[in-house]
Amino acid sequence: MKEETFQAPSELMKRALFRSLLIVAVAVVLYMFCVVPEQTSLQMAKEKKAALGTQLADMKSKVARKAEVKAESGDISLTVTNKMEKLLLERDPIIGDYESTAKTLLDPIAKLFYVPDQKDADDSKIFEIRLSDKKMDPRRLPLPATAVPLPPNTSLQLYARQPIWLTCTGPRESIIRFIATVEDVADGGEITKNRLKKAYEQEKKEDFGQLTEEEREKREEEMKASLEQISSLSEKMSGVTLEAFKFTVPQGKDDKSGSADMVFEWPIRLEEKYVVPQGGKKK
Amino acid sequence: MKAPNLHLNLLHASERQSSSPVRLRVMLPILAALACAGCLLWWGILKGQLMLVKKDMAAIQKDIDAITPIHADVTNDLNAIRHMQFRLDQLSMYTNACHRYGDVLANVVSSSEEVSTGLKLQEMKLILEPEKQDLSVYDAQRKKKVELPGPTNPVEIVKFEINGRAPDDKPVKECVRELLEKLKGPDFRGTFISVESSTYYDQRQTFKINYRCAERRFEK
Repeated sequence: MKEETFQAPSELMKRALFRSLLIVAVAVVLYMFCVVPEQTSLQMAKEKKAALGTQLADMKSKVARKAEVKAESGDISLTVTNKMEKLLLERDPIIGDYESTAKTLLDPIAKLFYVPDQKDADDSKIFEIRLSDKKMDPRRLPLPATAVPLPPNTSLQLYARQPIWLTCTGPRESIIRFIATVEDVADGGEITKNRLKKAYEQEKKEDFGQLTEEEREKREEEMKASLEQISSLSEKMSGVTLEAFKFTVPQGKDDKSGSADMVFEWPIRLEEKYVVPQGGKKK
Repeated sequence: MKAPNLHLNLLHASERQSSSPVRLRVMLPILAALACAGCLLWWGILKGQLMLVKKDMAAIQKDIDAITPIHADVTNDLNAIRHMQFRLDQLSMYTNACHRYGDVLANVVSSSEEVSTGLKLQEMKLILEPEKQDLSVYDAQRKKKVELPGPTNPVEIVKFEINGRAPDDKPVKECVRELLEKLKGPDFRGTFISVESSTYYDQRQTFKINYRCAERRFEK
C-alpha cells in the first residue's frame, strides 16, 4: 500500500474510513458493555451452578443415609438417656441441695454398718456419717462444682463434678467397708447383695428356729426390700467415685476406730451451659 | 442485436495513485462490520449459554427444594447425634476417670497388720491434686472475660499418704521396709505407682509414707 493513499485520501476513502471507525466503535461498545458483562454473568452463573450441584450432591448423599442416621440417632439417644444420664446426681426439688440429696442416697448404705443396739455399744463402735457443714469448718464449705474436662474441639460445657463431703466416725473397718460398699453399689451392688444374702442364710440357720412364722416372713420381706433398695440405689449412684479421703485416729485412742473425712464426687448437669469461646484463651 | 456490455468501474480516477485502493476502501468497512458482527455473535452465544446454565440451575434448585424437608430432618438427626455424642464423650471421660479405693484401703490395713499387729496406722490420706488453671476466658460475643467452672485439665494427680507408728518391740526402719514391700504386692498394682517419699523417726517410732497413685485421666 502506498503512502499517498493516506496522505491525500479521496473523498470515498475518507467516507470508508469514517464508516469503518464508526462500526469499530460500535463493536467496541458491544464488547465492553455486552460481551464482557455477559461473560462475567456466565462465569458467576457457572460457579453458582457448580455450588448448587455440590449442594445437591451433599444433600442427596445425606438423604440416602436417612434410615442409617435415624437408627444411629435412636441408638445414641438410648445410650445417653438410659445409661449415661443415669450417672448424674439429680437435685431433689423438695430436699433442695445436692449435698442433702446425696446424703439420702448414702444413708441406706450407712445403715448397713450401724451397731444394732447403740445404747449398749462402746462409743468407738458407733458408725455414723453426716454431711460436713459450715458449723464444723466454715473455711472449707461449700465445695464448688468443678467442670468435667472437655473433649478436644468441643466448646459446650454441659456437666460438672459435685463434691459431697461427709464426715464419718466409727470403727476403721466399718468406715473402709462403707467406702467399698458405696463403690460396689455404684458398680451394680453384686458383692453387697451377695453379702446380704449370705448373712441372711446364716441368720436362717442360726436364729430362725426361735422365730415365729410371722417374724420369719417379716424378716424375709425385709431382706427382699434391702436387695431391691440396693438395686435401686445402684442405678442412682452409678456415677459416684471417691475423690478424697482422710482417716485420723484421735490422740490417745487405738487405731481401730477414728474419724474420717471423705469426699465423694458425683457428676451433675450444669444449670448454665458454658460455651467456651472459640479461638482459645486470652489472658 | 448485441447485448449491452456491463462495465463496473470500481476504481475512481482519484484512486489511481494507490496500489490497491479499492481493497482498502471496501475491505476496511467490511472488516469493521465483521468485527461488529463477531461481537454480536459472541454476545448471542454467551446469552444462549447463560440461558442454558440458568435453566440447569433452576432444575437443580427445584431438586434441592424437593429434598429440602427430608434433608432438614436428616440434618436435625445428625445435629442431635453430634450433640448426644458430645454428651456421651463428656460423661465417658468422667467415668473413665473414676477409680475405686475401698479394697485398696482395706488391703493397706491388712498389710499393716501382717507386718506387725502392734503397727498403728494413725492417718491415711487420699489426696486429689488438680493443677491450678487460669479459667478466665475472653468471650467475644459478650465482649468481656468470663470465668469457667474448672479445673478442666484432663489429668489430675492423686496421692496417698500413710502416717503410722511402729510397735516398741520392732525397729521402725524394719516396719517401714516390710510395709513398703507388702504395698508393692499385686493388690496395689495399678493404684500405687511409686513411692514419693518415706521417712521415719527412730526415737518416736513414727513413719510417714507418700505414694503417687494412678492419675485420674479424663480421656475418651
